[in-house]
Amino acid sequence: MRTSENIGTHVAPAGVRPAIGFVGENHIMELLRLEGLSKRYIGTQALDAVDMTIEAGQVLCLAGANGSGKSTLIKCVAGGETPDSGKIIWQGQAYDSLTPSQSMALGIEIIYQDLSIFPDLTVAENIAFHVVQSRHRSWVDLREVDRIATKALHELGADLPLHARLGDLPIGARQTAAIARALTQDCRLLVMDEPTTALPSRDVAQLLSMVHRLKSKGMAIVFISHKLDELFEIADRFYVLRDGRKVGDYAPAELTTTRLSYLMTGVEFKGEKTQQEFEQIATPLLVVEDLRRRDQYHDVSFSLRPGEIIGFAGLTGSGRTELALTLFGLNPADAGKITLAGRPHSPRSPREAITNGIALVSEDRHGQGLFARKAIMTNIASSVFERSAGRFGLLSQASERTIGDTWIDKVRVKTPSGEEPVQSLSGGNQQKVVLAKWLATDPKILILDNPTVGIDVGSKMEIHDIVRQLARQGRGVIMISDDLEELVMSCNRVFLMQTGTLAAEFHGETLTVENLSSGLRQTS
Amino acid sequence: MNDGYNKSSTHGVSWRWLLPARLDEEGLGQSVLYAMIAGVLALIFLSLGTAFFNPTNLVSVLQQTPEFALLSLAMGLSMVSGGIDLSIIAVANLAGIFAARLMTSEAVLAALGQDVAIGLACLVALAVGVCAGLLNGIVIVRFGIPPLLTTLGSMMVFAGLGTGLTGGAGITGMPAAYVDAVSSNVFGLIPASFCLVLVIFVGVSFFVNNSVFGKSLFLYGENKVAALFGGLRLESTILISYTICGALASLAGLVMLARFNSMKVGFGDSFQLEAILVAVLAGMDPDGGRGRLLNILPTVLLLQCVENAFTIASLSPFAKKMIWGALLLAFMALNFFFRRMVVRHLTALAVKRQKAPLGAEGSPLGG
Repeated sequence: MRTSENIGTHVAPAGVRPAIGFVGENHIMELLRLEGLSKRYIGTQALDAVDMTIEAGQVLCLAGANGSGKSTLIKCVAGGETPDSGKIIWQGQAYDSLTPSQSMALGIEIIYQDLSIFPDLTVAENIAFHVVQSRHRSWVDLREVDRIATKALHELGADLPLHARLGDLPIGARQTAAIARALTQDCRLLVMDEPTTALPSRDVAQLLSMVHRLKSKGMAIVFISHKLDELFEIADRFYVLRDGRKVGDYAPAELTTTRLSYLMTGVEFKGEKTQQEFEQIATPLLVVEDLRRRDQYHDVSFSLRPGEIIGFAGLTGSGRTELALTLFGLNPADAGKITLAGRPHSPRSPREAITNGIALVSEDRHGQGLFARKAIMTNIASSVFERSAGRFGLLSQASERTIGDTWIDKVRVKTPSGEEPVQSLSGGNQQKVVLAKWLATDPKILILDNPTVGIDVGSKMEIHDIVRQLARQGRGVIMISDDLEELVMSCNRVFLMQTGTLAAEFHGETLTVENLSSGLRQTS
Repeated sequence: MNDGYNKSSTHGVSWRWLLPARLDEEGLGQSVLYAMIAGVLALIFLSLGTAFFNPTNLVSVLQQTPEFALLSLAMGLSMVSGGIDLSIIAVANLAGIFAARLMTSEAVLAALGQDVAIGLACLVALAVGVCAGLLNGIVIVRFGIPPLLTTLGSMMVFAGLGTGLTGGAGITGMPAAYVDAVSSNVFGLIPASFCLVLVIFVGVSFFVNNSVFGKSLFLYGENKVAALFGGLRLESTILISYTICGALASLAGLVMLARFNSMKVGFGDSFQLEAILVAVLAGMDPDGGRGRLLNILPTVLLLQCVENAFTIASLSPFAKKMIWGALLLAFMALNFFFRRMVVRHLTALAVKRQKAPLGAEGSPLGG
């Protein structure tokens, strides 16, 4: 742990904490500087020589698409990850890496999306947790707990019932408690990772006002959000990351939402569709009528024709993924009708859905799509084990290799051999393996849930090519994505999903990134 | 396979020959294991020489191995899916008790003749094992109770059943024909029971490596969620794996019955933890998805050799457990250091690969 003696040069004498915000004459204090920070995981360069400066009393908005390296950057600052190279400079003191306790001792607090609260403890206990824990005493003084909590809430200008069980309170209150807990730790830099994603809109306003209040007290705040309009409301500076590299550092006045989303994705929308070339066959592959599942989605009706790619845009939690899981047999609907190629379809397991010709490339590649330590060929062949087995359910290594090699070749997985463990591949190639695994089942309908999350641009284009080819072969594709460019480029029609229902449909002339993103903004 | 990939040994330090053909964790663990076996055998040879390495003693090592090997195989198999089977000893005892009852019953022997009675007793014992394994599997699959708890409970139930059937007493006096058959030597040299074990090991491991069942089992152990999303047949796979465990345990019971010429609840209780030790030492990942079942046999033989050597050197039998434990810890520590080395190597390789165009850079990973 660091003592105040080795604080950098421009800081007050030992033992005295400098006033937050200003040192000397109106010189804005640089709190944290990252220099050439790099971090690589097997397969991906998560951060590539990133430079960044954070000043006290500023709200810095960290913008970037999924997989751009935002969370790795945060983890390096929080001490959860050790950077491969580069420096973390906190008030002039340089570190190669930080440990979580070091980071907290410096005054860096992170509020993660899951808030990391204890639902069974009271509000006061949650807020005072760190302070009480850091004292290493055997007994907890409950009056002191209340005192600490009251003080923190007062500082935040919030009011919560101190003795309520935190898990019983609404999400907004839980978040307030998490922020209050950060304040008990002499927090100098507060990082908020998508704090508004799960928040109802009235609570968003309250959160933003809390952020303003903290900022005026001289705290530095790093704010991460996908909702660009919010960012413009509170940002003092924008910092854009793409594919692990710094794109730039901007003042809000320099940017518009369109410009920002271009900087984040690197794809300029050209207004020209690649996907208009097939004839539509009259009989739909899939018809969904009035589908409903309690607390997830309701009144969902749409149809999918052979050769068509339809998209679903919407926020996380809008019911898109849940709908996909229903079609895939993992989340049965309460009511409504699904007709697949003229026959009723209500699968009770993925096996049944797969037998009926449905494949799901899920969003969570590592958790749901791949067997990380197993060979590429095994991963690909796993979906067709039974189909390719011979007598007595025996399946030789050779036939596994044949299946693997065929598909490695077809989807162009870059690997020296099919025997490599799939975890040794880059994100894009891993995703191609997932695609290959499903294509091997010869699906009639392919559901893609955020198919290009965390994937380099080259692989992204290749995956889009494969998807278009599939549609040309007469398969139906359902694409769920947060990447609006991707939806506009590939889809014939895009549904906007909002609080569990299809709020709007865009196609032809109306299918543009601008329309989609303004539709999304209205939903939040 | 790919010419470009084998040239890497021409530059840099050539230490590749020390490592397995495929530089992954599994191959590495196997190399560490075999190096350890070689080391231990060398130590035994240096200290005991022909007092250990003579045909009579080696045959007696083989004779002592079978039940332990079968139980360890059952334990290892249950670990493939990330589970565990704690009930194997109880199942072995219960199956042995059923067989012993039938073989020693005057009425059965009179009615069927000795040979048929012995055959029937073996079949019944096997059936007991299959049913017990099936029961474990059904509880795990249908009620979603973790294997650890399921088999802990069923272990107590089976032991209780055995106690109820025997009143806790041992059943002794098996027919000589049965005892002799199991302890006979093939070609007058290799114990028949060991031949049986060999056949079973090769059979089970071939089946697991080359069947849809076995491949699904390994994938389930590797990532349960992905196995579900991938539409693998999960319920029947788990069911079959525990059923095989039960069957293997009952075979172990039959071998024990012949070797001790008696059966009692609680026989071989110490095998329980030793079987876990063997499975882990042999490279089975307790979290599932990794390991080679065939490696269990040499591991069992290694421990048996150590035990035998201790007896010959007339050291305290209590030191045996200590040495076994030390072997396990040494193996884990070695594995840890080597694994870290491999991960670093893989990361460095990934960096190189990204910089060099594909195919230009040789991969030491290539088979």
